[in-house]
Amino acid sequence: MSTQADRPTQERQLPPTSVHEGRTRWTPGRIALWAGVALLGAIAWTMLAVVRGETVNAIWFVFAAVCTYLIGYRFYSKVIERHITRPDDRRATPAEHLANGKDFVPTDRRVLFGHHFAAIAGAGPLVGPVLAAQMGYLPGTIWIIVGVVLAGAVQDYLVMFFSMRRGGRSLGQMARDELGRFGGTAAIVATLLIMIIITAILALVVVNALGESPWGVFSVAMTIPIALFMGAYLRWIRPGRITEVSIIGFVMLMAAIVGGGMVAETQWGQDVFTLDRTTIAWGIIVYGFIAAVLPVWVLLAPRDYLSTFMKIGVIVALAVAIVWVRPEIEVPAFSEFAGGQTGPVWAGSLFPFLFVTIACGALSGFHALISSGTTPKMVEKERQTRFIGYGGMLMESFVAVMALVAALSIDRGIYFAMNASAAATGGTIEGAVAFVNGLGLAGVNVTPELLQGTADAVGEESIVSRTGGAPTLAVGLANIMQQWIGGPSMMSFWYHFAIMFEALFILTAVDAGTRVARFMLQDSIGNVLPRFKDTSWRLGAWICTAVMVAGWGAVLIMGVTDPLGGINTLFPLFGIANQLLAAIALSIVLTIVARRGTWRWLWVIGLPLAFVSVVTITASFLKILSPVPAVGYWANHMAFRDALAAGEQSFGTAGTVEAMEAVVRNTAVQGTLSIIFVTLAIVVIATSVLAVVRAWRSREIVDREDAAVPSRRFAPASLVATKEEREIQELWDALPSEQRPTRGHG
Amino acid sequence: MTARAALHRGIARAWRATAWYVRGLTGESRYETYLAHERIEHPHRPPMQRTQFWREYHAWQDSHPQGRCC
Repeated sequence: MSTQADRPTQERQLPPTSVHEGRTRWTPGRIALWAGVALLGAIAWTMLAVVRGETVNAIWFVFAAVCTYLIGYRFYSKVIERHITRPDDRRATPAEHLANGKDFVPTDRRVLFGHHFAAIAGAGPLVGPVLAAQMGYLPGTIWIIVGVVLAGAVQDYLVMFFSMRRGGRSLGQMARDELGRFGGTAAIVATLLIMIIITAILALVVVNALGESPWGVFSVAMTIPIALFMGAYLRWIRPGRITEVSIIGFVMLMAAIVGGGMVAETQWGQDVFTLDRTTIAWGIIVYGFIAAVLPVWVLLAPRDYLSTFMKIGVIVALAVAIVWVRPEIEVPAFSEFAGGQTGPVWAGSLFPFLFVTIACGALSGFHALISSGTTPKMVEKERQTRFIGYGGMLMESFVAVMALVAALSIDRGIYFAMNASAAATGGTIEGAVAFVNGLGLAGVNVTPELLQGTADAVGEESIVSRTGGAPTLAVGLANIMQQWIGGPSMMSFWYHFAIMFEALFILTAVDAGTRVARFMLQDSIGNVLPRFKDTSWRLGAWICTAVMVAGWGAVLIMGVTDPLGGINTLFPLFGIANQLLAAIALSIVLTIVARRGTWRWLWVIGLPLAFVSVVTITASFLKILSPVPAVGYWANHMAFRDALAAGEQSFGTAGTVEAMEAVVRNTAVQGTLSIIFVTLAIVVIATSVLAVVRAWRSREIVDREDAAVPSRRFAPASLVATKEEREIQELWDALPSEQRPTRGHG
Repeated sequence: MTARAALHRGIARAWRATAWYVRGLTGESRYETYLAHERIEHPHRPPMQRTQFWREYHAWQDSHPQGRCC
């Protein structure tokens, strides 16, 4: 920890760079305001958890979430700020003292909040809650809202803050610094493997959404020429005019969605664009490789602009629509599957599997990769990390709550017909009707007309077994949006609008993830073969990209061809991988905070770390050791092996010997991955706990922060400037312009 | 000031604020930021032209990929 002596001093000729923060004066107005927020939140939670009518209105989800976030942000994150991070605005951030006009750029806090949010929020918070709706609405709602306040936002905030204090170091570099060579290497290998799994499963979600859907395939395929056009426009026609080209691109995108509907009605359109899922998977693999080796301006950057536009637009529209329409939710608080472990959407008991099914939105380890490195290099003032890190994650959690509401608002029969694997429904309407009605769910009675009618309304051939969460969310979103704008005739547009929106940012995540992973791989191989360290070496780049694409491509093909359904067997692996990364990130943070000597408040990190460790390690062990074939990979593996050995021609949902062999192969891969993940995570957690114990014994304070540099600029800390901050801002504004600091954007 | 003039001023302000935010969010303002940075830090060398700046920026992005979350 920096001592008083090396604390930066304020320059005399400049106005203050930091607000002296005393205790808040609790005026009656302020007390009344926060009491009101707490009361409204309490009423909303009571409506959700205690009052059990026939239905519950979606508006209570919104109130429960927003009030809890406000209280968490105002009180809990302040506690973390005061006792753990202890930011000092007299210190210059890396953005200020390393400013280079490229990555180190002091950026207005509100703009950076948007940037950071666009980088962290993707398909994850939309898909997980949809699948978790199987258990009823309450478990998922509690985990998303309470989890984010106590775990997810804490992780994002702390990783961002400590990375900022270290000149914007990446998570991998911090792991090496804090956990030593062994623990650090384990953390980097785990990160690479986790990136492969996450990319594969995101790609699987897109494949499932586009399979046998000529409309979807056409409109998503059109994003390639649109992005190419935008890239060329920015390169040669009007360089740097991003807003302008984004608007043009957005209009073209809407035309592609509308056009997709027309194309899908023609015979040639159906012939050309009706593709089976394996073909689409290969298409995405080839596309992923090409997109990752092309220069960013060709495809990645322009698609990212479109994706940001769509993301923010859809989220705002959905929030307004939910408040406007206020749909009634008929799903019970706890469903019939909450007590068992053989739900049709995904197998496993509520604990621990609900907590891995919903990763993004409550706690997402992947965010630690974004919160370290990119965003910390742009933070203008230290105290703003609370707003950007903690606040940004609360925002993502809200997206997850809305996704949950959208999934809950559709008929339960439709929900299960869409999300039960094709292995269960046979992929036919009759099969789905028999299967869903056979589940014995109270008040659920699907008819063939209902399923066909819904498919027709959204402009699809069929909605049976459209697993992966994206199509379900799209139906829910379309159903809510059409009640706000356009009526039933607009349903198919909104459905494909939602599919487009998810496909866009999954493709961006696939492409960007492959690039990041390629650099990590080159860096790792470079330790053995130094040639690979040179990232501009074309052949090395191609080899490493090919290795990464082959890695996620293999898992993707495995998921697409899995006789057991794909998503239901692979999604837990995605959640476990993501949460293990969270455990790794929290371990690193725990070590840093302990070595700073902050013992009294170490529980703030210890609590989520302990929870997520227990959840993921239990889930991993169940996936490895559970005797229930639907849950345990190896139990399933052995069951199919024995069946093959006994000479059976079909077993369970696998109808042929080849399918049985595929199950044996897939479960072996999934089981092995589970073992590797959990081993690496245990190594990292144990290394971190040892480091904490050593720090406790020696009581020696170790801090690898960069040296403090005095700040020469000022900006408010949170969204709205306080009175003191406005007064100081006026002093700065009164300076002659050459003395005023330049801001990345402002 | 009449109510109508106040309304116009309010609309103009909201428009400017929105344009400012969108330009920041998309990264369009990056070039202006760079110009301001050069003016303060390197006043004696001529800054890059817009086209060249964006080419260099994209080349730099190629070697510094940024992840996108799930």
